[in-house]
Amino acid sequence: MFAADRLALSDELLLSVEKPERYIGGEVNSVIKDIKAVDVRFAFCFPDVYEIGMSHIGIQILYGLFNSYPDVWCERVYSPWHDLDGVLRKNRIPLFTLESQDPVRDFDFLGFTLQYEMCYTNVLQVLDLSGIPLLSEDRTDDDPIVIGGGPCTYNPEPIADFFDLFYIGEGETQYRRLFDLYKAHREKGFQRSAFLRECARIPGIYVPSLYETEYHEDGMLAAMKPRFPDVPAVVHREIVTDLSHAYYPESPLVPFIKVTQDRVALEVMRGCIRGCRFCQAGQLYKPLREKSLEACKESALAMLRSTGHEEISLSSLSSSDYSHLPELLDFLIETAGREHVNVSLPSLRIDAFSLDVMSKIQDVKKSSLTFAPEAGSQRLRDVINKGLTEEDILRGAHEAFLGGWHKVKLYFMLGLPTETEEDIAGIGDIANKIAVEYFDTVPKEERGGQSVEITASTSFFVPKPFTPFQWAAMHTQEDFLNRAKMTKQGIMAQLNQKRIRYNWHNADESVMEGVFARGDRRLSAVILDAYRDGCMFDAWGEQFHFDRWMAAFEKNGLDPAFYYLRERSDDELFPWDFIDIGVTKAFLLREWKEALAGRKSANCRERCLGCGAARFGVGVCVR
Amino acid sequence: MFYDYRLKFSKNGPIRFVGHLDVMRYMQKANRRAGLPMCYSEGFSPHQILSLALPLSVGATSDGEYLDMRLTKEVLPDEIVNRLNEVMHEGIRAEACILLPEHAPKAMTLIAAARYRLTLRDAAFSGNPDGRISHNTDKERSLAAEDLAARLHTFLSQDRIAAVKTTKKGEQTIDLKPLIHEWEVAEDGALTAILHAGSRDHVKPALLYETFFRSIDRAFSPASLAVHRIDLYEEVPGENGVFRPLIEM
Ligand code: SF4
Repeated sequence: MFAADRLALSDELLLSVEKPERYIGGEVNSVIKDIKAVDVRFAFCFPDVYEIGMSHIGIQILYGLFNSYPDVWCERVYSPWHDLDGVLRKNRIPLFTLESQDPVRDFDFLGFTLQYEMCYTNVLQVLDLSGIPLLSEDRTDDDPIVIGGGPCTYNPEPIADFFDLFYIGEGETQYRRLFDLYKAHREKGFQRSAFLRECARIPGIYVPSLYETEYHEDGMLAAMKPRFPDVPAVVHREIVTDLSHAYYPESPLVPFIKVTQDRVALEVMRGCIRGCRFCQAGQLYKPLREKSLEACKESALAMLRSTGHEEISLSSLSSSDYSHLPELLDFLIETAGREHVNVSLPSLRIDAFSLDVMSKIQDVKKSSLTFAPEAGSQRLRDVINKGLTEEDILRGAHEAFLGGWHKVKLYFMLGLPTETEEDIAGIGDIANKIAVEYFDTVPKEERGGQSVEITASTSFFVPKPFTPFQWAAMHTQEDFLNRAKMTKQGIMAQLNQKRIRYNWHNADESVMEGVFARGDRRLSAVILDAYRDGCMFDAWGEQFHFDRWMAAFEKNGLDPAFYYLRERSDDELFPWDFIDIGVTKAFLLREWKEALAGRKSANCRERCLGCGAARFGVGVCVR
Repeated sequence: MFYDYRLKFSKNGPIRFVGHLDVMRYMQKANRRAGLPMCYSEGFSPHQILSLALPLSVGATSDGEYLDMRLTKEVLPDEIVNRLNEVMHEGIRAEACILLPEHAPKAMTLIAAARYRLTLRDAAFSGNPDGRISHNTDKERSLAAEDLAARLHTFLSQDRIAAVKTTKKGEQTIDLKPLIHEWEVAEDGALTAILHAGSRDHVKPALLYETFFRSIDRAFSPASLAVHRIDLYEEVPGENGVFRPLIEM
């Protein structure tokens, strides 16, 4: 009677792990189909714990899209937490999907969304627990096709050995074609290698096993070539051209447990007009494409109705740049008032308009304002092309203090190209100026026993592929920590240091992220060894074992310094150069030079910089 | 103006692993999907005015869960049930609903007893309380079940059942016997019982079984006890020891 329902695990096992809700599926709006009525079974994995994976909007979109195809059933799987990982291994239970609770290894496809480099060992965990060979070359015709998508696939090389396919670009466009090709191959007698070979002809699909690489003696990449004439030398990024009419889920999944983003996420646009030079997303999703106001409104209402969520949040890289923002916010606030919905607005520029809106929807006393100057001095902000000035910040803070706010969060990066001690000192400086602004703006009698609270956080700069900083060097952990120490001292030296809190990020993790971000194929062996040595959940601070990683590098005769400490020469061939994202390498190089010269660049609405993305013929490029 | 309703719902199937706080979140979202005119608290993050009668432990199923909820308009109780069931998902079903009189006490303050059906999962028979599946043959298992029924019977027939209850104040020995209002052991060892419930002298099924297992000198793992709650009861006013369900069907 008790294990008779559809669950893969017995009650005893489920009760022996923390949060069994992570593994039972059955969430509102999850999709159940009849396996006899579908041709393609797709297991979609976010290789991290459930609460994080369920918060990701990309999966929600593709989950809905795939399940809108009658012949496809898309299900989900997340990384089992350590406790269940142990239970599955000990009891030899294969990893299963949430919906059908069937073993992942029985599926046609296993898709991973790769959102950050530190999830790579979790990809191996999922493959391993599923009983799927970790290396693409070891898989047979009966194993699922393992495909990766998401931002990390813009340099897929460090994980090339584990994947059969990568999807380069926005998933909405080519999956249908991939499924049709798969069905055709199944009908005529499936042969893995023949199928993969033909996949290479689908736009946006990269088949790593069909390429070979050569290296110079100094370890640098000499060439990357297709192994067959019919395999394209360059893989072009896929994009959605009309966002207003593209598929967007009306009925997103509603988890039982509280997840990181427990709300409706409304995508209002893709891409960004602001070319911050450190930002990978800014380049990867160019050009900026807006969703029409009508489409946004409809989508918002439909999702609120179908989920019952009590909160809605706008999702975009820089919501303030959305042309119809005032109208959309009016609409949402009105709906919010009528239907008791909270509106949350991340990534808004702090100005009179946004403060006015925020004061209507937030508890001003409790909420904090966020500024991301990213660098401590105007000089360095020009280098990174972050168009936020000290005056902007102080003016925004001034108005916010008048409006009753007293909490401010500041985000900075340490170790940016050309950074000097003065730039670092600027961090404490600006935090102090904000405190002074508070004391000047709010007279003592109006403070209500409160005072300004400033939190400054720094992360260490990690150069990413397809950014102007892809040529830049990173720093050693010691150097990074030294910079954090200087930042702290700079803050401690301020008059109002008691009002300023300082947090910084772990340097070991940043270094490892830097290695994988710009790594090459040879790193697959390192990742495999680190996983075999017990590395997993590397993104979870306390689970990160730097020593094991170092041992894995040593074992494979590779030096991490080669990947992260080196400034690249202008003409170096990068492992990711075979991907064409639309933005050209020549443009990125020009921006790199402009950065070193300390010169800002315009944003797409001020002036087109001719980045190359105009070739898509959509969005901001064709106003 | 507002209207208070008492909803009875069941919770069966995989959703038994959803804890009671998450059930509350689930019900709030279900109320919104159903478009019920819910009454909200004031402030910047308003929430629905709801209260669950008695939390159910994770893994337990139930046919008798109760939720008090406040609406801003009067809606026919049957309509509430129907509208909720249209938007409910696997496992949770609205069973009945009543409009409460003004100033009616909350369900959680009324609860006096709960009826359960309690069974032991395989692991308890095989002596593998760590949850490993037993490899006993069917014959051995059925013998064990008969044995269990007899022993439970003996245990519950005692005049006094001393149990050690761990509270905030420390360990306390209590007599369970007067708190077990009705019981019946089936041949297969399943126990159906009305146990005292509520804020005072609440008896958790696990406590009863832990005490039973101790009496037969065996280790007890709470995960081996399958709990199904049948209903929740209030005491009929003026009639000591007479119970009726929070909603009479
Ligand atoms: S082509 Fe011009 S307008 Fe289009 S994304 Fe590039 S810089 Fe912006």
